[in-house]
Amino acid sequence: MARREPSLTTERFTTSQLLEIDACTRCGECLNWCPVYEEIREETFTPEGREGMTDVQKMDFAPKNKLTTTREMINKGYGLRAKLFGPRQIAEDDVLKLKDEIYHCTTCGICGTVCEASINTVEIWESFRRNAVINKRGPFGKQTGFVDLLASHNVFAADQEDRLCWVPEDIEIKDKADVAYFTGCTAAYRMQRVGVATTRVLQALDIPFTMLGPEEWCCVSVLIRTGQLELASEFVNHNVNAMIDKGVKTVIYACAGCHRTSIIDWPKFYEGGDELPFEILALSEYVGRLLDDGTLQESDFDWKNPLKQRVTMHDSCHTGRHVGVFDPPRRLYNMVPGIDFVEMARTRELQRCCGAGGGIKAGVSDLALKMAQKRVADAELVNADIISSTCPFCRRNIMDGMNAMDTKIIFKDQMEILAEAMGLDLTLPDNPYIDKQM
Amino acid sequence: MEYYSDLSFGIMMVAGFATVILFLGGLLFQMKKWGYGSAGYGKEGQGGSIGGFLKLLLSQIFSKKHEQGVITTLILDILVQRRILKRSILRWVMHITIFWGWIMLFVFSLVIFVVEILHKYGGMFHDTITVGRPIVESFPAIVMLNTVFGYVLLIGVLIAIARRLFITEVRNGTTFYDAFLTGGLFIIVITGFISEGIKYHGTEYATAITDFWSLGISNTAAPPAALFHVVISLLFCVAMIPFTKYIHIIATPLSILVHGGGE
Repeated sequence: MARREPSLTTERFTTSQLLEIDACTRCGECLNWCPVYEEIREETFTPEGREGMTDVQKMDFAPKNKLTTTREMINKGYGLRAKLFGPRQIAEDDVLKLKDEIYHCTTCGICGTVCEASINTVEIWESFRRNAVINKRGPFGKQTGFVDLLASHNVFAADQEDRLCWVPEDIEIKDKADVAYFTGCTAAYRMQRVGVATTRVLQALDIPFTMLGPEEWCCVSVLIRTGQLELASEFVNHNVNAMIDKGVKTVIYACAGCHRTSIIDWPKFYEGGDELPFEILALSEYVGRLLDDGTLQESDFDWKNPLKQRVTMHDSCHTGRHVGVFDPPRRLYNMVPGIDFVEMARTRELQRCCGAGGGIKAGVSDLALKMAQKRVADAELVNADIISSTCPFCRRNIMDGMNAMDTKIIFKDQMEILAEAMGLDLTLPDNPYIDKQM
Repeated sequence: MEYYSDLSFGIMMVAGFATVILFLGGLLFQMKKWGYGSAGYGKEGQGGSIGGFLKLLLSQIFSKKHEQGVITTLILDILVQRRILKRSILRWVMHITIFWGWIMLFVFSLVIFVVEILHKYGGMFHDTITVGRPIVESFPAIVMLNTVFGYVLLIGVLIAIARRLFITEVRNGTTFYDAFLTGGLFIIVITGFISEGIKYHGTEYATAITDFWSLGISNTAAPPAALFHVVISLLFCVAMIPFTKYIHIIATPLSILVHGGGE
């Protein structure tokens, strides 16, 4: 008789991750920080089909319990008893229950940041999700649509030939340059003002740059976060090779999601070696470097419009906690004349996730909205006029949160703030996506 | 063990070896389980290779990408446990007392065991050891340190129990397994003090504290009491490590080392 397969296999988990799953001390620190568990515990959000949960059952959505259940399920397939008598079968409903719990996660990574055992939780959740997709248990809800959308090479199923339709005519995009600006799908099709602001600032600072245009395909963040990796290698290698063709040495990003995916995930799929053949930096990091090495002077920022408003910065999980870029964007904000820069209670590595990431915006939009509202409330507590960030996806979700609240706070991307203070024209050229702007 | 008579010595040797075999066997089995994972993102699993696991583990621990050295990680993040300290002082006190209490009692027990073997079969320590009394009593410093670290461990275990009883969220998150293992540790610590108390009860060495712990039991019951304590300590605190939540004693430091430590 054929030996039964474990109900939850170790497929896609690395040896280190299997070790880390056993390393959880169940101290419970993650319960104090997990933004999803917070919403569920406070009953501002109830997962579909889980109405009437007790306090103990709510904990199933906390990182500690997800790790414990994963460990128990893996042990049933690979533990001592399984080796002697065969894997113990787990009811499929129980595996699907765990799958749903792990997909109710923005992969913000705060649980890993505060973890006493230094467990890289984000990578474990993503490996589990990949395992779920391979075994036809995942992804979750509308996340299944990402793969179809990406047939067009961007997440909006837009015409790839329009990738640069938003660029003002007087912006010079070099055919080849040391520096490339990776726009990202959102800035190219839905938040073109961010793209215009970024290119305007680069040009105003005399930084020559190139862009990939139609050859810039989606960074595949949405696929990697949700475990749908079938297209990832093709997209990553296409983008990397396109950069090589342009002679690029440094790629800069004004989108946190693209930035994180490029610096952390692309090397896993790149077929040309262990490291990418170019450097990856957040735009604020790059400008900060030019200021440090004297290529740029603060006087090069020709400030024309003092801001005179109170601005608070929302660190995106991706560029912030995941990559560790905290000071460079703050340095730029503080250069803006007249700005009253103020920090919210939770910032930097302990920042509160806005709720957009990890496929939650698409898969569990109600949850994303509740989390965004909580972040807006953080900004209200410090009497901010503007919430600013370097992530178009955070921008979209936080703006949704603002629209659902009675608040006077507005959202502006960091590049918009810089461009406006420098008196740069942010008018969008006429293009087919004008009425789709967020 | 001289104290327990030759029969006790035999039982101790069997229990000791059984403990070592169970511990090492369990550890190898755990490493095999970890070895089912892949060597890297997107790669094929290693089919339960212990060698593959160890090779990868070492390469990750000594990775040049880490911002701090292995020794720094070992001291600050594992021995001092600063990641816990940064998050919660109470939990740090609990964990550091359990950690160091456990480690030091284990070390002292091992030292005395080695001394016993060297004395019995190597003809050593004849000038130091008084025949007919527990060997450990010939080393007053170890007796004192045993007592000190016994209380250190007791403090940690009591905090652990109090957290699970009085902090709502911790109580709600407590499983039978958590309760069983915490309770087991409590019983081991308590039986250690009780067996010590019984040993001195009614003798010239008795104090108010040892009389308290003796529960009024005659010192004729000392050998079986001590034997019970030692055997369950070996089984519960050592042999069961690879098979229970206690595996984190091994997996957590390794996880911290793999990721290069840091706050």
